[in-house]
Amino acid sequence: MSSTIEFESRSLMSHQGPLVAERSTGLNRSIATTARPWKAAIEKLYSWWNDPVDEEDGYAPPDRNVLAKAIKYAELLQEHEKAPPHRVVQDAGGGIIFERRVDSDGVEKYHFWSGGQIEYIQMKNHKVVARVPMD
Amino acid sequence: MSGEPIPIDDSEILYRRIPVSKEWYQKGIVYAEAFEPRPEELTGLSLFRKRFKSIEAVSRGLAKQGYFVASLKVADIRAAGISVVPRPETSDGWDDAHVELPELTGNVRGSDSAEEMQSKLAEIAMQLPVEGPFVRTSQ
Repeated sequence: MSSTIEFESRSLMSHQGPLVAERSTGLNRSIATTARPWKAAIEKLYSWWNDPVDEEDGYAPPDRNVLAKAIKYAELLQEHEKAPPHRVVQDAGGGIIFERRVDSDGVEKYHFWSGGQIEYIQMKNHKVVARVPMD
Repeated sequence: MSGEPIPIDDSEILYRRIPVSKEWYQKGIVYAEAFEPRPEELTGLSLFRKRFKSIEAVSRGLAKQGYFVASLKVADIRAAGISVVPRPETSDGWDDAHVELPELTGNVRGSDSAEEMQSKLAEIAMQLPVEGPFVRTSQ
């Protein structure tokens, strides 16, 4: 598993999506200033690891494989001083989402799917404008 | 009660239940995950008709921290190109209030079309007040 994560990490670090390169404009600088810091995001992931929740209303929580990947990536992104997400939430099927609002019409996210895939998805005006598999 | 499915009028309001613990509704914002189908929801995302079920009844469920309930106008959903169909036959029996969005199923989770529908639905859900949280008071 570690070699898989190392490979995926290289893919993630070489990805140059807007989430990764945030410091070029005043708008992005402003977003970065107000964004939830990585520390809080990572603590949230560890809280799910340390205190697993039961299925809630039929929604499965992320398992330890998904959590391990999300924690690893979050720590790598923090280490590389990437802009932190505004939200870290569970999806409806055992996955995890790091979401960052780019502007009033745009959102970008890393989606850690329950099957193990990781995707970078960028949306603008309710349209998917970029989609990059990260593994 | 059973019989024929009752057609859904454009003027109707639908309710969508959102578990509080998932943080899919926060600080006045409904997020797209509130409309993400579970993997096993294979016939469509479930909502309920205000015409046939109270918001209090919709909010009754097993979620420990309770639910928020979002309201959506059928006309807005259809205007966004998303179908709404009555599905009164449920695992708990006949329920005239139960409807589904048949294009949004567990089979298409994560697809571009699903992401886009979820995003549109989240915006539609913010046209009307989100009620709650409704917290379970008894077992």
